[in-house]
Amino acid sequence: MEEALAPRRELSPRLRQLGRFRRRLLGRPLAVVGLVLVGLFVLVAILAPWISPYSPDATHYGALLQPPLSRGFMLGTDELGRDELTRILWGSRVSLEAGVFSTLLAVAVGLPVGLASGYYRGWVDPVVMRLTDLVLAFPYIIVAVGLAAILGASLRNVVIALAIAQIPAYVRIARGEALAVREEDYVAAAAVVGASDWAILRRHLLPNVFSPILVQATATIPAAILGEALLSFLGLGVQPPTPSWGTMLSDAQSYLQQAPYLALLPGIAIFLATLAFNLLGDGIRDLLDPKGFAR
Amino acid sequence: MRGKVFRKSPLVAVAVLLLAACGGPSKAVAPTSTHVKNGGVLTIALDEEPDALDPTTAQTLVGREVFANFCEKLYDINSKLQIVPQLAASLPQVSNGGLTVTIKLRHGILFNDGTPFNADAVKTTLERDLTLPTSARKSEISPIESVAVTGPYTVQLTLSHPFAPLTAALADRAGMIMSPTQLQKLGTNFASDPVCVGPFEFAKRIPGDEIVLTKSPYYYAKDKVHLSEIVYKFIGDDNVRLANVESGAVQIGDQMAPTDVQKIESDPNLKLYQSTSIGYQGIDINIGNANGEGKPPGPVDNPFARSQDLRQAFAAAINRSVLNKVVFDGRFVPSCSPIAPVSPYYDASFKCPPYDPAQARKLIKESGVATPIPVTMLVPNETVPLRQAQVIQQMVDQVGFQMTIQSEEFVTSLDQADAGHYEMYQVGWSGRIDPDQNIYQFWHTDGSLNATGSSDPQLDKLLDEARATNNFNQRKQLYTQVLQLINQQDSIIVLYNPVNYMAVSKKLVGVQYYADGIPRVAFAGYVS
Amino acid sequence: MLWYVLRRAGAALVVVFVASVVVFIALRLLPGGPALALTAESNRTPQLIAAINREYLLNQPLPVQYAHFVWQALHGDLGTSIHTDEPVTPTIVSRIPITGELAVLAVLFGVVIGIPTGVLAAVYRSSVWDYLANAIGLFGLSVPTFWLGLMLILFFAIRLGVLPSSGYVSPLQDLGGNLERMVMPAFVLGLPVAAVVFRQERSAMLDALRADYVRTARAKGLGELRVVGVHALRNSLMTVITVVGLNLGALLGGAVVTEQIFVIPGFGNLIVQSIFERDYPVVQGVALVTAVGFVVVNFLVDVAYSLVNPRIRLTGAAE
Repeated sequence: MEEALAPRRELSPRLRQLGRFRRRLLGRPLAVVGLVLVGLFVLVAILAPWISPYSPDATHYGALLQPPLSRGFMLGTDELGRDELTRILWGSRVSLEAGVFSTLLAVAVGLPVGLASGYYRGWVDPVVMRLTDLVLAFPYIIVAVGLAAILGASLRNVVIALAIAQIPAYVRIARGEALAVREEDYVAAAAVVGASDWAILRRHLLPNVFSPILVQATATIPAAILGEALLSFLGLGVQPPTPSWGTMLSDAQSYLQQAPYLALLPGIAIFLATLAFNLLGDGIRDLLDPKGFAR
Repeated sequence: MRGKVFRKSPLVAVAVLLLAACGGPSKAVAPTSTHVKNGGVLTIALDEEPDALDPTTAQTLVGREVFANFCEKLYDINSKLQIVPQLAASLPQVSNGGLTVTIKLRHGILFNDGTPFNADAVKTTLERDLTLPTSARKSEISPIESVAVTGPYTVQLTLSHPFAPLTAALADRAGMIMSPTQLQKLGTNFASDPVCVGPFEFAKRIPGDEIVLTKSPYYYAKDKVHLSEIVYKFIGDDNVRLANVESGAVQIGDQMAPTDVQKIESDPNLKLYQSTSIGYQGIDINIGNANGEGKPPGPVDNPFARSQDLRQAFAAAINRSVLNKVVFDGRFVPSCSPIAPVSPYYDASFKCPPYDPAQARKLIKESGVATPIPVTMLVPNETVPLRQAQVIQQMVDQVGFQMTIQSEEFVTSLDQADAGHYEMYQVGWSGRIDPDQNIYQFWHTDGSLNATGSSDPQLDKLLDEARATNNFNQRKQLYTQVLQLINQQDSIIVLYNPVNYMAVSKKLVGVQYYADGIPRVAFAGYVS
Repeated sequence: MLWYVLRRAGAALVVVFVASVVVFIALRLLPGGPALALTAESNRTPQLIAAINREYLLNQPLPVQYAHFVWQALHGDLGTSIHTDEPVTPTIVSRIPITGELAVLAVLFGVVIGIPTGVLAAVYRSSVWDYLANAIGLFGLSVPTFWLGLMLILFFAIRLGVLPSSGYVSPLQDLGGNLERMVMPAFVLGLPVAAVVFRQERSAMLDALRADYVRTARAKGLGELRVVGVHALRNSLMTVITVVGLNLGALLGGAVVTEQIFVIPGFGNLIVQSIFERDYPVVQGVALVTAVGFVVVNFLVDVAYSLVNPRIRLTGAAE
């Protein structure tokens, strides 16, 4: 019955909107650079096994700490004689997984909780809000480090730790939207007409909350990429020998003098990955959130 | 120490090894008083902060380095790791079938508060070590049943059973005699202002920053003491410690990374001191820790616990010298023995089972376990242990072990290992003077640190026997049998003995550096 | 006004209480306790572990331990370090000025760099200036600070040898040496602050320049410098203060990492070291002091807010 009420044509303006959005995004050179870099990053992560010259664990004890541009090793080798280029390429996987999955997880938890909290209010709302306050009271990195230390080191736990640190932001956004939409006349009208909560949620709440969530995601993905690098740097990330940029940096710390490139390269990789999402994020934010900061 | 022998220690790229060249001045350069001036502050950079400076409760290796210069012991060791008298007048006399130990003390010695050092003081200290609930010494001297003062400078210990490692324990923290007056005054707060006999006395401690010792006016050989003050700084990072020695901000850098050795040697202002450690690093295999450390061993469910062949295969698959070359720049000593080659108890004719991948494959076949054999190794999440684990992972992969690394923060890993929640664990021991103190706790069924659940009646018997006799040659022979047995049983696969490296300013002379890795600077001084 | 202050104080107390409970419990969720950490290097026995636990009341039920901690804390005593047996309060007090100096220098750097560039970028919108400043701002947001620290050490300390790589000297002892050692850490910690401040300042300035009162000021014939300098700038400062206040947590988190890289014996180092040593009293003490400091600074931010913009009274900022 609800389906019958739903005007079909509502789809097409949204599609048109999307098309306009894309054109406007492509009109910004910095955002395009970001988009290209993100695409490259994703591509490298997917194709790493095929485009890497070696296996990421393959050690060459005869060629320890070779500088970049050595024979057979374009970016040199690390302290165990592993190909640096291979490990940088493979490292993109962990980085991307941590960045994207933690944000997806945070959205998956934060969005419904926030919507429910804002829409139904009741006793749930204050409890949820105080919980988010509590997480927010501690610095993001401290929360992630603390959780990773308690949970133990693994990529899965890194994703969980980073997600928990992000959840409050999504809860707040979703709750805020739910609160606002709830008061709108047309929603009240829909409720009076007898639209189910589910229908209201799907038709009115979700579309409204989409933009701010997307804007937030463009901020949390790069933050999570940095977060993973830091956790791995501190020895709380993925298990060796899985290559992670943060772990590579931490290993390189003992060779700062003998092999500075070991510290330079993974750092640049982390920087580019973060920058890519930040550039893209700025672009998206400008378009979706005209009240945003970076105009 | 169990564990943390490694820190983030770098390694030099050059694989060529100048072990001969870095032979350096590992022995003390005798200071001739004409060249050494009196006065001056010596700053020493330690790699960790010591725990409380109370000899009864002290736990850390690094604490011993500070004690060494303000808290003398009944006995000490010399450069050959032999036990020599320090506050005692002579080596102990053992009688009554090993049950009575008589210690004669030196006369005319004063504590650093001016009170006399005598037999009563020794009795007070030993009884405190035996009875204080938080005493870390109790387990080292537990066979002592009573301490009797039989003369102003004579103490007689009665033991419940003969206990050969006792003298070595009295050459460590259990032998540090505390001023009874100060103990009376401070009780369990002794660490707030510890008073012993020593060339220096405790001045102050700023937690997290420094410990300061000043020259003692009461020390019996104070005319041989040149420095006026010693400052210990705590600098955990290897690079920073090195930078501080290079800049001259500190004059001694302790526990330098093997990879920085070359840099130290090439520095015209620095002198490298080295000594092979009495400690060792290895891999624990859980063969019977079913109920947690300190509880009786029981069956555990992993193929390595069931099959000795598999453990031997794992050991045979590790090329210790390549491991040493790759991870430690070849500057450590590949070894399969918990008794370091520098110990007088080490039998030079003892041979380690060789690196032999073919033999490893054969043993695996005989064990009947299908390859690849999965195994998880618990590793503290510090750079060097992880690096080492990755090298081992590659080596054992060649013969059919599929090894997974599980890195955990150090105390977490220790907790898991103690509880028996592991298959293999990469860990080490800082080493003690007496071989018993490096083996018994780990391999004996009743050992307090028996995290592998080792329980071998033959091994237990040998270890008990070696404890009960005071005859050096007999003990040495017993320990050689022990070494053979533990390399068959392979509950712990020993990989190497570390080497202690210390960077010392060339302006400083008279520093002594023995296998215990403690910089002894009592009689050191600056050249004038 | 009084009601507002009381309410703020009440809320602050709750935050401090909950934070201390969370830290108290989280610590005990970490595997291995203080006794194990303390005896990690020695020949421990179950009896010794039990004795140490008794000594530090760790065998008591958790509520009793917590009550004991609170009772002591109310008397200004944060207990005794299990690792060094030294009292915790003076240890913490000695670290406050170190991290405090680092944080203040970082914020100073962030503001000194962030505000002028933000203003310039807004005034000369879409100029080369604007793009350059934007690029630097993005760099500041995207660069991993721990890596930047390593690179600075590599370049300035190891390659050029013009700055000491790390460590700390009290400014009272040697002001020059202190500043030499603080330059790189303050830069590393301040860069993200500068980036955030720049972005906020730029956008706030853009808003302000479009606002009615600025147009009025212009219409009145005031010089451009005066318009920008007085009217618009003062208004946008408010945003910046909020941002600094909001980012205080991130600043403290960053300080932990920065202190690790540059081996500065501040709060961050103390807490990390103490967590590794499972030194409960020290971690609890640091957490408590941090939480109190946090609340106090946030309150000060609100006050500053009302001072910069008198149109907003404290009552208005209650939520």
